[in-house]
Amino acid sequence: MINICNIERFATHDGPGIRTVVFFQGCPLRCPWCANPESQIIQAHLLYDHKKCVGCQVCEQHCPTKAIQFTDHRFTWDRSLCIHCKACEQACLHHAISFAGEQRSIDDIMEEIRKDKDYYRSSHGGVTISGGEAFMQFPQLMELLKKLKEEDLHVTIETCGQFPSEYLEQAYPYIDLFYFDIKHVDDDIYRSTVKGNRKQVQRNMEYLTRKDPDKIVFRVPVIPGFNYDDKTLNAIIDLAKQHHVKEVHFLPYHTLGKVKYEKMLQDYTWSPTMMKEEELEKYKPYALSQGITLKIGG
Amino acid sequence: MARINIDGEQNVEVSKPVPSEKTPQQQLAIMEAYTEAHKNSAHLDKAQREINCLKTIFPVLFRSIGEDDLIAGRLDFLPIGFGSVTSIGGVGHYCVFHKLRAFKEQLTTEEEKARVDALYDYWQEHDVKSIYCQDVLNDTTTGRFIDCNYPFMATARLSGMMLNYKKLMKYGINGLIELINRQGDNAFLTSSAEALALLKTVIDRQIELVEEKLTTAQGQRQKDLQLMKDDLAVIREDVPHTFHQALQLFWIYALCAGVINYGRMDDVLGPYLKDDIDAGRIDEEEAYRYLKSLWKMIENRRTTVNGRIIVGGKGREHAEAADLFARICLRVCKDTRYVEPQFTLRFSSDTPQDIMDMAYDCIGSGATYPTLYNDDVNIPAVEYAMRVDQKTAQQYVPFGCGEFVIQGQSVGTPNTMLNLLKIFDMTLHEGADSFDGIKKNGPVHVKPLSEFHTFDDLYEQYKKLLDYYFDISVQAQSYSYEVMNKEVSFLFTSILMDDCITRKKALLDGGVKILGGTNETYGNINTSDALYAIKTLVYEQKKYTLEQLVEAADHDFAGYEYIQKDLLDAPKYGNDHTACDELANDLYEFVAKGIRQRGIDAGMGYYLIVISNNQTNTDWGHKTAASLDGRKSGLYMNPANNPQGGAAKSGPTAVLNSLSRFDAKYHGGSVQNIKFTPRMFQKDREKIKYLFQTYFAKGGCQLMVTVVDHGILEDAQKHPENYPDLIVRVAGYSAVFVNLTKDIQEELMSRELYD
Repeated sequence: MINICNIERFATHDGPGIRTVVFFQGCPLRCPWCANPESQIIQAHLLYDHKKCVGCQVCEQHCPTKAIQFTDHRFTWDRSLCIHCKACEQACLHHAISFAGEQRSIDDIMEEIRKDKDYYRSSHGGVTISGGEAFMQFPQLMELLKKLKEEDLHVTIETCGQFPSEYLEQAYPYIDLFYFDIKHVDDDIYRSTVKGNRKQVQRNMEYLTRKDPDKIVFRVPVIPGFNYDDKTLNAIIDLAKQHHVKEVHFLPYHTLGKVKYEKMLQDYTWSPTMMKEEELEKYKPYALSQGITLKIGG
Repeated sequence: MARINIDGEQNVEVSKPVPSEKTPQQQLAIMEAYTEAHKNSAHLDKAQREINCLKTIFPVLFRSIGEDDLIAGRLDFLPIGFGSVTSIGGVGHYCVFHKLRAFKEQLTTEEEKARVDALYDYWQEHDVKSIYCQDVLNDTTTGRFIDCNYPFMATARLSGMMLNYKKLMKYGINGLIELINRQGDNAFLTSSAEALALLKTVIDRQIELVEEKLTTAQGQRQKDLQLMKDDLAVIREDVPHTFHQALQLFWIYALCAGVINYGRMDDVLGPYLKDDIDAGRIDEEEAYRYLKSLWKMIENRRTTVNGRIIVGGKGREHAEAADLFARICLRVCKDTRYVEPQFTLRFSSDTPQDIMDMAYDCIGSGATYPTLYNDDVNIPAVEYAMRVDQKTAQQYVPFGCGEFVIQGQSVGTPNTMLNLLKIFDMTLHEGADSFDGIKKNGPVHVKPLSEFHTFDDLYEQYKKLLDYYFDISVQAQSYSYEVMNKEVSFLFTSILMDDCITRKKALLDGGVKILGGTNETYGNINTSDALYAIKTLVYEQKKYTLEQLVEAADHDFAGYEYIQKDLLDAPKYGNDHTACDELANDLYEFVAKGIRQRGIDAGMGYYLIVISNNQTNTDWGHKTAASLDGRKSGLYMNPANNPQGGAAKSGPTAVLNSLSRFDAKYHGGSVQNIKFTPRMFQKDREKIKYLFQTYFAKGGCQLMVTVVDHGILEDAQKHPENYPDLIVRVAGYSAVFVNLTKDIQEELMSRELYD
């Protein structure tokens, strides 16, 4: 069984052609701007929509572990008590409660994936594994990768690169394309902001570029207040060139994930202002001069 | 029962007709003259009576030439007159009673009003449709179109005639007269020849009307009018030699025939266009001007659901010239953004890529056109469905909301309509329609719920009731031809339909080569979703009894919200859910094959279901009780072959997979809508193309695409003044969104938008 957050069909921005994306649960990083915060922990997370809630408290009555309580008419959820029975979700007639994350068998996931095989074939598309960070569930990931290759499907993986290098060696033969996050070039800023170890990311990136630089694309979430400055972004382009990577994607900062924080009863701490794609056009000439194809928005 | 009064709406009318140029008094005089001719010809053959009547409305009903018209021919219609279809005027010798009543309000004197009353009384006995309705309608099973209280509606009309214009071009008017004269002189033939003489009178009148405009015209306008005048004179006596002459001849004939769908004009007009361009007589820009004028004149007829111009596809004699025509039409369509013509592209693996690209650009601009028809699927499907050879099947054309006919060779009017969901509701209530409590099961015994021990017990009972409705459908369809044939010959239509002239018989008198027909089915997906929910919740999971579910629906789910939630949460068609889609397909095949076989047994060329749609899914939904797919009472039903609004939650590939599951060879047209945001349609164009290509390769027969942004429809509802040209695809037709009623708007908004 794999803990997944979602399976998205007809995804058009996560690799070549028409794709199905399998979003794994669980991530080692804690980027404060994360657009999929519900996928950070491996277990399912309750999402509460206060706009739909009518305050009837039926969910509280149906919760067998008292994980849900209304205090001062305010909905609260205690994750440590929740057993994910989803009685609350079923009890709510107003669709105010849902859960992000479920366990699904690999066969079940494969069945879903197969449904669009004709579309992958005609468009040279395939399957993208995303998250979260799929390497967090490494044994399950391997099992899924093998199944995908048995069926000769093109596999792209979107990864932050934060996992042991031996995992990468094992998974490498089953993956056709890596969308590899390069969030920053500075170890300290990386550690203090996203709570990760950039050296490990660097090692994995170097492994991949040594093997075949054409199978890796750098993906850079451009985040104001973190990496949105000429020095950092040009340095990432330089890094690509240094490792013979030919394609880099700058993904402009957006706040589309903000509503999820509200539903998770958490505060969103990063900037409320979205970036426009055009803002990043200015990096294209430099990238071009370095022989790098820079795409804005992926 | 009491005498049937068919006063009321007879067709879907979103676009408002252009008012008549004539004063109310003039209109009254024309209607009286028509009525007199009808009375005085009562003892004559129907063909002679028809021509006598036609002479009272042609050419007098033609209006003056429009300010920028480049071809002549604008025609009014009145509440009384002669026609083929309900969209303009009515059927045969017709009276549209509610319009006649409205007309009466425009008159001032009591004397005039009394004259209208006299007309009303006369036509109650003589209106062709009333005669039909008198015999067919009843208090329980069968209502008139549009009366949504019944599970079955029947009407008399001659929709979707697409004539053999090649014959018109080949022979010209004089040539046709000669051809007819050579056949002999029965009443049909002599009246047909007279009709063509009348057409010449109509042309003479056009020349006068052009001359009126010429007196004040200058510069380019003068040249344009002079060309119109010269070419009218040519086509009066000769075959057309130029593109403009061919266009003019086609148009004036179509108006007199009262047809509102035109068909494969690329193969008819393309060769004239190409010759003109090759000879340097005109350039493409000049042709563009003519076609833009044609587009406007078709739009101005305001038929809402018709106006088909079809380009592309297999079986064209002049493919290269036709493609030249098609390219110019694509430009015109993109630039004009009219709701009509319903511009249609037939395509196959042979279609030039640039035409496909232009089509996608046109769709991407928000025009909703062209609608796309897949020849690789439709031709073999039509071959089987209509039992015709491949060459004949290649001439299939969709009309109206998507029913197929064979151009110039078949009648396929949808004179019967079934509400599958209402009939299912009756199955669950021992034959009573739970919306009004009236028993509508005819002679069929419907068991109580307690006797449905298995799912198959229930399903079989439903099929038995359907069988009964299929029987009365085919009878009503056949009878509509009988009645129309008794009253009229449809002369202008007959002349250009194979093989009326050689058989010396009017269209419905044994003249037409293929006498087919269609039955519009509604609520098909709501029903299969309801069946699937029952199958799983009652017979597999045993979570509820059937009685509990029906009780919940009978209360419109008030106090039974958890049951409704479970019904709504059950798998739905449109999500690529194998078992659910298989059940939908099983029901589809039962209905489609049942209707088709009855057509064969009745000796018809074909009788097929169409899963098309105007807005009857919404109108009929208003009169259909809550259903076990979780739908509330009175809510719209699913549009055409698409899922119920809000039910498709798995993305466009899933919905297209579900849609392509039905084998096209059992139906006579099925339409599917899909909506994208401009962002996705433009930015991901290549992927959208692959999406469509794959769907078509998997057996998708048709697709129509609306491109509209998030929030636009919602904003247009609040601020209609800001969206005068926001076009949306309703189902079998396009409309300006803000002209639709709120309930139709809501149904459109409920559909999934892909971004």
